[in-house]
Amino acid sequence: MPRLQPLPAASLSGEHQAMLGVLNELLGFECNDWLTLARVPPIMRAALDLCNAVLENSVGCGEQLRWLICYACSRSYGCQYCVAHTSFTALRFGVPEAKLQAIREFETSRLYTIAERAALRVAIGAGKCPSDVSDADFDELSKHFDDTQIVQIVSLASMMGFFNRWNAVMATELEQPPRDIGERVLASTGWTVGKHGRTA
Amino acid sequence: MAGRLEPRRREEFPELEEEFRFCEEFLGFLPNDILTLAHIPELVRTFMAFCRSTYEAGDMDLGLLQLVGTITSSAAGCRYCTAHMAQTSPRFGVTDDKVAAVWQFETSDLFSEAERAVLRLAFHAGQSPNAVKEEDFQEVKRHFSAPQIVQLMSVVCLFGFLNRWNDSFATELENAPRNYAEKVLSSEHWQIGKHGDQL
Repeated sequence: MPRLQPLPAASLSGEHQAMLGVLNELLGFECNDWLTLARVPPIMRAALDLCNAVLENSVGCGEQLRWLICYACSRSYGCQYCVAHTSFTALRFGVPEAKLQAIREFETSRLYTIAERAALRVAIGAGKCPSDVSDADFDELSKHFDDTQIVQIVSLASMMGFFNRWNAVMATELEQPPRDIGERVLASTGWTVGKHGRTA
Repeated sequence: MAGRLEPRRREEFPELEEEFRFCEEFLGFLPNDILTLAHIPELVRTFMAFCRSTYEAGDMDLGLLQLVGTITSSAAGCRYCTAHMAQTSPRFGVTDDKVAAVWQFETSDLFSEAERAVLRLAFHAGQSPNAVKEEDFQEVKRHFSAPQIVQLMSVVCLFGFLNRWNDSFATELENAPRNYAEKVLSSEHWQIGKHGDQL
């Protein structure tokens, strides 16, 4: 059971519904984590603005890689809610299912480029507590990405640091569409809904 | 090099002066982590707005929230953030003795039952895998409203961001929080680790 119930979307003001509407349009469902943050609207608004800045396209890390980073560090930390969400979004942006399924072999799988491997190595290390990123990981990263892109990569992992902690602690209930992806696509990677399952 | 990516210089970003000044008022200095974020200036603007909203959009005691930042960062293993929030606590009315005792929140008589409930949640939430139990939440709910819990959890999770950021970049710790942590915190609970001076 979630530690706090999300607000019903219909109870939000028109302005706040519109802010989350962009997200709903992209995903096709309403996110329980955002509807819980919506209990304090200024925090919800500021978190949305920060997410948009972290995901900024013009920095040049590439849309698919951005979501792979979010997916990889959520797996590394162990938030199954975020793993399902970021997979769902990655698929929306055209990442092949087989690539998500090959995440455990990213160091050797031909589905991943050398640059992607460097980024995911940092994301996976960053997902651990304490962080397990080495100087060598950063040296390799800087061969493929400029300073601005490195900041984007680590800020993506850090933004997920917010959501991984939030959803793991809040035991947020996973919505059906990402749950379907988890069960259909990610089962072979060890994914289970765990405490994020629906409660009667 | 100061950490794994050189922080930018303040003078490069006159448009971020308002954000920088807020940082200085809050911490007493302009930290290296924010100057590293400044590689993407929009991140400084939105991140600082996010920090302000978590501290300002609610009525949780600001001193207690600094201790929350201290203990959750310590649980996650980020000594940079631990030192920052320990140093900030007295700026919000927490005594040095209480800062030093935060690791003994369960037993020290400096802490009330409500404070213990909050710090227990923060301490368990910083661990990986997350160690928060249902009874931890029930205890917090006995003392705080849903909006207060959202504010509390937003601060805990703000450090989910900052712990990853600073522990991954090995951000170099500035002198003020370093001196404070070395003076006030027991070496059993805090050492500078990878955030020390680098050649």
